[in-house]
Amino acid sequence: MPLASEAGADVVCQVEDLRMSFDRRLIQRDITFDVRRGEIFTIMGGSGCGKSTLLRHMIGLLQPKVGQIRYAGQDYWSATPEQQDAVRRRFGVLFQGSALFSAMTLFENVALPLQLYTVANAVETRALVRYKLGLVGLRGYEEYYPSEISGGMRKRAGLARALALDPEMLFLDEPSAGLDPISARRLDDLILQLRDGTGASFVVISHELASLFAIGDNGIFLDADSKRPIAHGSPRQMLEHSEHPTVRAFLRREAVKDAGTHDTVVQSE
Amino acid sequence: MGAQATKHAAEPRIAPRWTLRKQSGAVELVLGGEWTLYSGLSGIPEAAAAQIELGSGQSLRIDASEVTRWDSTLPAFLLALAEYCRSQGWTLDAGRLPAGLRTVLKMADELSPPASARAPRPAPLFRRVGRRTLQYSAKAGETVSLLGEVVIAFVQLLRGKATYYRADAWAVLQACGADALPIVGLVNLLVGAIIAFVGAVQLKEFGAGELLADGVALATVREMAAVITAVVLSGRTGAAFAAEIATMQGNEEIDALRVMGVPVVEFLVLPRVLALALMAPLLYLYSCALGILGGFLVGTGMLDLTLTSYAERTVLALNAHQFILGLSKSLVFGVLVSLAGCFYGLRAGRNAAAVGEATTSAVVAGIVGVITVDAVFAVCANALGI
Repeated sequence: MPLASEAGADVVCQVEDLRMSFDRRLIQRDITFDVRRGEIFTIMGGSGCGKSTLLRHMIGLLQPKVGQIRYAGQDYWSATPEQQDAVRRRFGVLFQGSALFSAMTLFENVALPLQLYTVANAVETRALVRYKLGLVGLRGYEEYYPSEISGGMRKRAGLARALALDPEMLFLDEPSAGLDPISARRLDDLILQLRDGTGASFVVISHELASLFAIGDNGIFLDADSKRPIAHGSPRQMLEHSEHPTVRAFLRREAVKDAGTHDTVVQSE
Repeated sequence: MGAQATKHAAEPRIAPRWTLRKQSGAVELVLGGEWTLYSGLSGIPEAAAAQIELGSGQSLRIDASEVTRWDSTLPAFLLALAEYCRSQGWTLDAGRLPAGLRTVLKMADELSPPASARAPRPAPLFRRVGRRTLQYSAKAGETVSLLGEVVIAFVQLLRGKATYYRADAWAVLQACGADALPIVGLVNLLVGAIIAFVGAVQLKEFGAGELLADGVALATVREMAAVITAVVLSGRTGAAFAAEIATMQGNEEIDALRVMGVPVVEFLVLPRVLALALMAPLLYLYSCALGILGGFLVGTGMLDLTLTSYAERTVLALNAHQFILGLSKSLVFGVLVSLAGCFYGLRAGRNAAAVGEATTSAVVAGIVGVITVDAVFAVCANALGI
């Protein structure tokens, strides 16, 4: 794992020595990693270890107690509000609960950032929204309200909205949770396709092992017990090389108790 | 368009351009320049569509080799163009596009909508009127059935069989009782003072200043303390009930209760109705005291009444009947306000806007209900000679 100090030009985001806590309660500490251009970076770990909290720090919703989060070399929290706005505009975020605006149709949800920040006229906006919804398989659902479609469709619509401004960095909080295997697989393909097509970087929180192995180029594993990252690297590398029982148990779906004897008790995949 | 400047980044942009080329029967659309969200297409899609002329079954070839930079604007345009061509009976030949562009285009196009995805069309006027009428009658039915459920729940409570969460009931009791003291007190003190002001000016004319205490005491105990307290509770507690229950509705918490077999009305509505039914009369008595205090402050300040004379006239003016009237009113108001809050909360839809609607409806219904019921009380009290 390269240190942040030797980061090359292709590093789009550096998290350095981050410590996250709520009041006195420590969530995670000593988090250091880089996200490179065109990389799919996965955040892994058990429930409650602070994955979503890390994501919320990265997208500027929470301020780190200690440490820095740098975009293009500039620390986000020491930047001016204008610079922060400019950085955030290059983000696309898919929240865990989709966070679609319930009083707006899918069309209006996806069109909103386009209308706010681009020069596209009504015809172009319509074409763009249709295309973005088409990418996630929701073409034709423009006039539906979020409450009128299924949970999986809401997830995909949230992704379409995150994609609206062709972001350079996409943050996806459990994108495939609640999706059927076919849709989840399609979403993985879509993420890979988007990465190859646009060169965007992805930061993905996921529990879906198949998805992690399919898309993850790099990643970090947060441990809820020791409250610090216990593994770096791609999910596949972790699966093959990590010695840590928690990481092995997580990636092999074993009970933690059996982690010491995983060589003899091999779960069928 | 002052915002334009910030929308464009500083770097120079090359406008997107297009030409139509005819080669041995085939038509080719040649695209060039930058196709990005920030360069704008300035009407190209409409203009291009208008100029393409092809025979049925012919194909339109796209050449994007001169495009220097593109983001999703280009595939969005091509997708719209493909749909237009399809509607005209032509085909779009994307064979010469770069591979990345072809893939995203294919992805967006092939996940085409199922037939069920067609946007719902607005129904004809006649049907809408009918549908709305049926909705209203259904809502009226729901209101009646909720009232019935509350009565049944109350019977269950009297039989000692109601299911509710005791800690929640205490919290509600505190929220609508003790926590409401400052605001209820302040409002009633001011109302008492206002009545005294208006009265003092009039009574001075007749030299009947000492009657001020009677007027303030009667107005406060019979009407104002109960009504003003109920209005404050409607805005404060009724709204809170509606917002809380509507949010629970949106979070599927109500569904969770139902699935657990918990009777929702007993669990959520009963503690709230009981809490306000208990607290409203107590707050009424407190309001009476503060209303009379407000009147006294103005009376001594403006008319030089003494504490003893004011207190004496106040005691003489009031009797138990006045308080019984006020107490029974505030009991009814408390039940009404809490029912309105719970009712609109339970009936709320499942989105963020629904919480706002539920709260508004609960407050409006609460206040209108309180005033209406107060009028009924006034007529009854008159008939009974209280």
